[in-house]
Amino acid sequence: MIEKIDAGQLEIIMEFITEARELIDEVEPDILILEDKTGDDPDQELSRETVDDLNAIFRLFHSMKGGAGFLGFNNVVESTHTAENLLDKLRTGTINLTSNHVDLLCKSCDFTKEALDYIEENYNDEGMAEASRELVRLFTEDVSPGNSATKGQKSSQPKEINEEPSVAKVDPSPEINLDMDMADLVNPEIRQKFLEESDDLLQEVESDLLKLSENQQDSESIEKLFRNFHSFKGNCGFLGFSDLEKLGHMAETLLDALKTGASKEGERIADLLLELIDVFKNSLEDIVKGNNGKIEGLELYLEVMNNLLPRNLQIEIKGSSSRIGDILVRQGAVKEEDVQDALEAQQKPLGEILVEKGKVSADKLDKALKVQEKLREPTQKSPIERRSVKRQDIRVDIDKLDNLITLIGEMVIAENMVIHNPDLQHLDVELESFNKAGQHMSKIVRELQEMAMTIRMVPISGLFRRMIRLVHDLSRKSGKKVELKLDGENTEVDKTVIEKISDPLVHLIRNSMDHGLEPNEQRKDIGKPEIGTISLTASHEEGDVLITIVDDGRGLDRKKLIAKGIEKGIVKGDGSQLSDKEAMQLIFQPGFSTAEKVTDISGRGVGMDVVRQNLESIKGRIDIHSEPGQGTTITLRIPLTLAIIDGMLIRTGHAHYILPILSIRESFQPSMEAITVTPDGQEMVKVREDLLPVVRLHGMHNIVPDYEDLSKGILIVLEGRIGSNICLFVDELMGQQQTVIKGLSEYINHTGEVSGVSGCTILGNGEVCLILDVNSIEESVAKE
Amino acid sequence: MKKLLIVEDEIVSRLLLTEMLQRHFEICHTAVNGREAVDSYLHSLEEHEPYDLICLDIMMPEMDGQAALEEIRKIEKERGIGGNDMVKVLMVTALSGAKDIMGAFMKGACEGYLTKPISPEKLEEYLKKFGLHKSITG
Repeated sequence: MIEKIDAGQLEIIMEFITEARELIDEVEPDILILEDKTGDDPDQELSRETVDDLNAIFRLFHSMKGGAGFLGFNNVVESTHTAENLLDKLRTGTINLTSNHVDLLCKSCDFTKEALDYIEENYNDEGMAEASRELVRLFTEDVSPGNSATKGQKSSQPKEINEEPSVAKVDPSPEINLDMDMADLVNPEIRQKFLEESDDLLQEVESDLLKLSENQQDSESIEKLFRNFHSFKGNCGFLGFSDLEKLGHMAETLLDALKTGASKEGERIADLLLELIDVFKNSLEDIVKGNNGKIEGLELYLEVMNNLLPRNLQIEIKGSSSRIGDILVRQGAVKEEDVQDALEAQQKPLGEILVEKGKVSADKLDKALKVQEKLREPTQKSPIERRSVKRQDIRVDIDKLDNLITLIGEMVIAENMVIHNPDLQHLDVELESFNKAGQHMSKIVRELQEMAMTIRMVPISGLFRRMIRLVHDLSRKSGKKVELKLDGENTEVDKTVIEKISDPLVHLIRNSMDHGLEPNEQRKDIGKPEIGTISLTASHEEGDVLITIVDDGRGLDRKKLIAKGIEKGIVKGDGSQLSDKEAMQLIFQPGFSTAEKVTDISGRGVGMDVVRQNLESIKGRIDIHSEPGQGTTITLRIPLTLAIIDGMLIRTGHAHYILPILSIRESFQPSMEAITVTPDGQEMVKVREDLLPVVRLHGMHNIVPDYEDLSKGILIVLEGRIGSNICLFVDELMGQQQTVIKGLSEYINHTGEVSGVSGCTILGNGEVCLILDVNSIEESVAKE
Repeated sequence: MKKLLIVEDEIVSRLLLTEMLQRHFEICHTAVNGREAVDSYLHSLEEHEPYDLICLDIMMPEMDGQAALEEIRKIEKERGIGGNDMVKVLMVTALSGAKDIMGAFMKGACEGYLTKPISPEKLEEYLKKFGLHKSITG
């Protein structure tokens, strides 16, 4: 073997190790998938899929054998060679696949991994000799003729093999334990994976439970739920979270009762499980913290669940339903009463009594007994779910993404600095080539930026799904039956945006449920469909995401709103001067609530105010539209992303500002005739039919402008939140540009001296430039 | 009926290999680059007379041996040819190509390698191992 290692050899060895590890990672899941195939009918031909799997695994060992042989790692060669042999036999159908084989293949993988670690340290595999021999022995035992694994015979349990006296061929090596020690396998990575999977799983379970709660007969949901709980339980068991496993198992039992039709309590079971979802979640959180997911009051939960089972299926907590009577009943071999009779007279095993009494034939009993055996076997199912589609994604820390996006933002600025560099203006040469290169760079930077933005995008479906649960809970509490329609679940939105709109959305849905929709009887009386509808829709519109919440409830009552506004002192006079739109906007005022009674659900008068604030913090807008008696439509308009906006660079005097393009309606140079001045000195300009107030930007920030005369400069019509437009007077429009938003420091905001500004950015020439906040400009106008 | 494919761009090596191997095989084809090798291989599959052995030079124009090997393995995978039914491949290379050989083993699952100058003993050894060896008297 290699005695002295030179750099070249070392490189090859490292190459071997890396490649081998990659191959193992790729193929290992295939091995675990085979586990599912072990139950297949032995006489049937292997499916193409299975053969492909076997071929892939064969290639793994084959490659490894070749590579190891080349480097003289003979122990690895030997063990991989035996694995290869077994696989070839399995592939051609010479022997049948058993779970023992899967076990052996897993062991080979483990062995190889261990060997690779060893080689990485010692550059040889001499230390693996014993382990290799042991592995080869296990393989030989299994494949040798007369062994239980050959054709047509039942599979044997791996335990038996380990306990069997070893064949004289090699020394038994007790110090090397190749048994898969689960605890050792559970590294933090697996744990993390488990948590992530469980999260997804619970979400799915939740939505299925809701479906089930609506429709008890939904066998598809039951089937899915059963499967999900089954794999969840399996995972928990595998990782040693016994409390979770027990709870999961009980849930599975309940669902099984539903599936087989033994229980008709679909709705009650679904509701109970829904409540337990939180218990599951809490336990998972406990695991996140590094504990083992202990569930407080587990016994109680189990008992409650057990009580929901039909009497004959109820079990002593802990064991699974493996009593022979139950199984026979389930298989339809005997009637329940017969089992009860037999149980009463039970002296001998139940099965025998039933046979004697002629209630069941001996072979049926035999079958049932086999099932029983299976049930009593500890569940050792493979923990890895079948993944037919290989996921091509990696999980990335969000901080890293944020950094990336910040950097790209800086790059946009840097690009501006280069392309609009003031030095260039002093050059008298034609910069044709430079401009070309500049354009090219801009294009790439822009693409890069768009790409970076899409990385952060996630479908909104997760958020919408949570609303299903919310509506369900609320409808239970209030007794109103409601149908929630979802649309546009696949709309992708920046992850931070999703986090920020979660609370507002909850508030809005609560409002719709509580204030909007009438009680079912009332709806019936006024001729509306008895069940109210709330629809939640997401879509893209230009650079924004639109989320609409539509209910078909009673709508907003203008009179009530105004009365309330007067009562709270928000509305002056009798309120008749307010447009419908303005009246609707009243509900966004702090402390405004029209609900006559404060319920658990909403009506504390903080909701809408908070909603608006939350939305404003992400530069979003909320619009409300309502027809009394017809329902309410609430539209949330949210920028796709928080980091960059499309801005219009404007100038007044020496100062530059950025206006968000989205708030610009139009711009024009007014004629003198269009301008009027109100008695209190406010300048107004007539735009078509509307008179709009003029705001002089230079006036706001004490700047000396180029033009004082309105007809010389430019007026920009801005659309604010309240819906009433204003005109901003500036000297010049400089052009559109991507703007990276930088926040203003807290202390600047605190002085309160900076008005109408939401942030700042850095221009190409390095100058700091303020970003104008249209809403606050509008508000200041309204105040005056 | 045993079939051999020799893939080698350089005429001397090609002739030499042919010389060494042809008495063990009834049919002996040659190709001068990876592309031709893959085509010949495909053709052999269509004729239902697959090769028993392919000797594949690593350094070749058009498509090198490594790429050809991977292509061949891919075809096998698509057609469900696996295990010991996979065609036996010997990589042929100059002495310095240890890294290439490792790649051929790990990525292409080849069965063995020959370094130039090719030693007849080693070749025979492989043939015996593959069950393709024919003694001179037989």
